[in-house]
Amino acid sequence: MQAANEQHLILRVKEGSHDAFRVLTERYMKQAYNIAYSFVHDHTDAEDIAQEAFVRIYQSIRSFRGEAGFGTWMYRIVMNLALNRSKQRKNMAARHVELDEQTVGHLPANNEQMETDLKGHIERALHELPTLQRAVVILRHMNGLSTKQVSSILNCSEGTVKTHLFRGLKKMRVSMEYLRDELA
Amino acid sequence: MSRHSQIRMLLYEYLTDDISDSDRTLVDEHVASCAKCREEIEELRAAIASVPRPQTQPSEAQTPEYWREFLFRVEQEIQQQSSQKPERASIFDELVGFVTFHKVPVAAVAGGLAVLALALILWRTEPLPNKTPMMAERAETQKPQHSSGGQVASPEVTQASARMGDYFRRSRMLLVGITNMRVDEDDPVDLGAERKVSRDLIHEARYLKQQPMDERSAKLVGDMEKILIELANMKEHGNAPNIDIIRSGIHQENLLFKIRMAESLYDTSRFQTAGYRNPEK
Repeated sequence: MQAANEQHLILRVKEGSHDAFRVLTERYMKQAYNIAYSFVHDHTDAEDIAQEAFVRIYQSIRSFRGEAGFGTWMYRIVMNLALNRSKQRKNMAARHVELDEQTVGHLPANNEQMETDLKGHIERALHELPTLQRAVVILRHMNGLSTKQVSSILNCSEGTVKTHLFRGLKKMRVSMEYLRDELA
Repeated sequence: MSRHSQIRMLLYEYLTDDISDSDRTLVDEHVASCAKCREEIEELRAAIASVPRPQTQPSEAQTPEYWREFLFRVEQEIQQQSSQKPERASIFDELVGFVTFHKVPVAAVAGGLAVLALALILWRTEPLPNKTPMMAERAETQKPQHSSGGQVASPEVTQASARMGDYFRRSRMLLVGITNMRVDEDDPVDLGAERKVSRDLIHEARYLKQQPMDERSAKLVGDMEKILIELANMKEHGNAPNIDIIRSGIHQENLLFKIRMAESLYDTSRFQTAGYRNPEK
């Protein structure tokens, strides 16, 4: 039912309906933002990327054939934009861990400080991964997308997704142990 | 695929409890007798534990107002980029899009495309038939004399368009103010300023309705009038339920979005306003 409804919406967007595009955007904007944030770990960048993605979607909606779902297509666009943005900020590894003011609005207690440290370690470990492994870990493990959907987004087999997932997670474990030891 | 490889493909789902009963049994039976796979499971279990999934999504940190603004910026960006595109290119895009989307055989439309394109180009250079007969007649009487051969907007049409843009801008500011107004159940709000602006805009709308405008803008002015009359007739100190009625009307008709779109079409900076005086100033 949802898929049929979505196809109808997409058809109306192709016919020029702003209302239909608004519904689609409302449906997917938070997911787009979450995926973008998983890659860039910055609210402003995540917002820019998610908004840019929807603008591009609107501009190229006529070329969307529907072979993969709209969500898959959207995630792919967001991911590519986010990876480009990450490349532009190659000094991420040298960044200091910043307190996220939205989740820690006061002097952190011990467990909150640990949570912030963990968040920073995860971020750094992710950025040390090769691009494909990073994408798989972010999409499959951090955001819970199915193996099938990740394979559609990345245009590779489900076996490849799983292999990259295992390798990525194992590498991250090693990186994070190192970071904990070095920064403790 | 070997049994090891087959089991390996199931391990992540096995460890995250996202596996069918039959596959779980398959894994359990295999690892009971395979040390290598048992080791693999433990290694992956430790890796998963060291990279915990986020407890909350980043989007949950944002307010509903943030997401309304997010939508608005997307729409605004699309509108800006659309207004920069040349019209002729979009006709070709529409033709290509139509043929591609409907998978019409290329051979069947090859001959017709040239004729269709010519017909469309000729059609698009004719005035758009979206005015009432009265508006069309007025537009006709207001048509300027062509001196150099190019089309020039008359001062009256330019002034009307500028006033239209101003009307939408002021309407938007009024509606945003109403939408964002903090209202306590027990504490009436002073609506003196909002009532005055509403009366001004109602008066302005009476002038604008006499001017040529597209159907969409005409409908929007009509929809706005209902809200403005409601607002103008409210008591000086409005209470929460009455303001909620206004907000509900704004939301139901999607007025803010429509006004923003209309406002960008009537951007006053695009017009020569030598003879136009803003009634507010």
